[in-house]
Amino acid sequence: MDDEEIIEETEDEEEVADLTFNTTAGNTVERELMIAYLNTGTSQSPTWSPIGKRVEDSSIELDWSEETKNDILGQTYTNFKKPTLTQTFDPCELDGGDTAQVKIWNMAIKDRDYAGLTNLDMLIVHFYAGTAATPFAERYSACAVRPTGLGGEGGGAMTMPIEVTYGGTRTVGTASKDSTTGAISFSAAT
Amino acid sequence: MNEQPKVLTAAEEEASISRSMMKWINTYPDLPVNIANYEQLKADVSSMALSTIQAAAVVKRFITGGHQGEYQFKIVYRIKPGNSNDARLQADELLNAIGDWAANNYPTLGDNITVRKLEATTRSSLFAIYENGDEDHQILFRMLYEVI
Repeated sequence: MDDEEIIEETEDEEEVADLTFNTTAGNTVERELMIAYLNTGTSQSPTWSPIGKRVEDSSIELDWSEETKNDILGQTYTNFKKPTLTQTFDPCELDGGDTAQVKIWNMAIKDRDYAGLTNLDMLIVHFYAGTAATPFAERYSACAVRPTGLGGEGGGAMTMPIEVTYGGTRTVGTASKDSTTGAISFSAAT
Repeated sequence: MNEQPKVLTAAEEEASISRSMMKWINTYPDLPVNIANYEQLKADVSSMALSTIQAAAVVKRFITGGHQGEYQFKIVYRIKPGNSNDARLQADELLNAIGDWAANNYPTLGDNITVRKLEATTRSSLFAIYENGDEDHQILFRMLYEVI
């Protein structure tokens, strides 16, 4: 590798500048500014349908496989691995207008498509980060979506709680929301 | 002990619901008066009113935005029964019939706002007696709606 190549390599690995939050400084960020979407279209022509309609509390859990050890000199070191991201949507009341839920129901309940349920395309949009018009988003190509039940109490709504493990290729970029239709589109960072 | 204070819905939202509720109650097929009013009952004549019990409040907030709200109201039927127990019983029967009808005939509240549940929380009963012989009978309702 000559000097010029070394310089180019260094430039390629240069980190992108930190994003800023587009919300008002001093105000907390509203929960609804981070939404997970399931691709209910195709890989080439995605249709991003939100997950979590009527869910009141859901967080992405990050498991870093943390390992802490003390060496013989008395120093403490901690190791992380790439985090595994999981998220639970509970209770998830069945709703014919919830496109993501209908797709998951068909795959899990009607078709028992256990292989397909581990290979779903999902997008997390952080509407509060980056610019308001093109917020930061991350796409995961092979997520495991696991309905954990179907039912509910008499006189109430039928529910299908869902657990998601984000996986596959992670592609970061930006999202945009059509001002008329509300449709979400994703552009990978170049 | 640690009950969270209720968060009121926007005044505009509550006003819009109240207007829709007025249209809805006046669609009841066996309404005993020409028009059910909002919060107003006339003296010495039979009249009916829909009245809010307390301000509409947010009971749930959803992670994708939107919320579930609670709107409590009552329907008051004013009669002048004199010595007729039958008139009093008929008033209660009428309000109870409205309660049953309401559970199966939800009002239309507008775009992006839908009724999840509407039910009478009491059966009709006497609420007040006035010196002029008017009597108010009432039934209480609770409506859960969603703004998504």
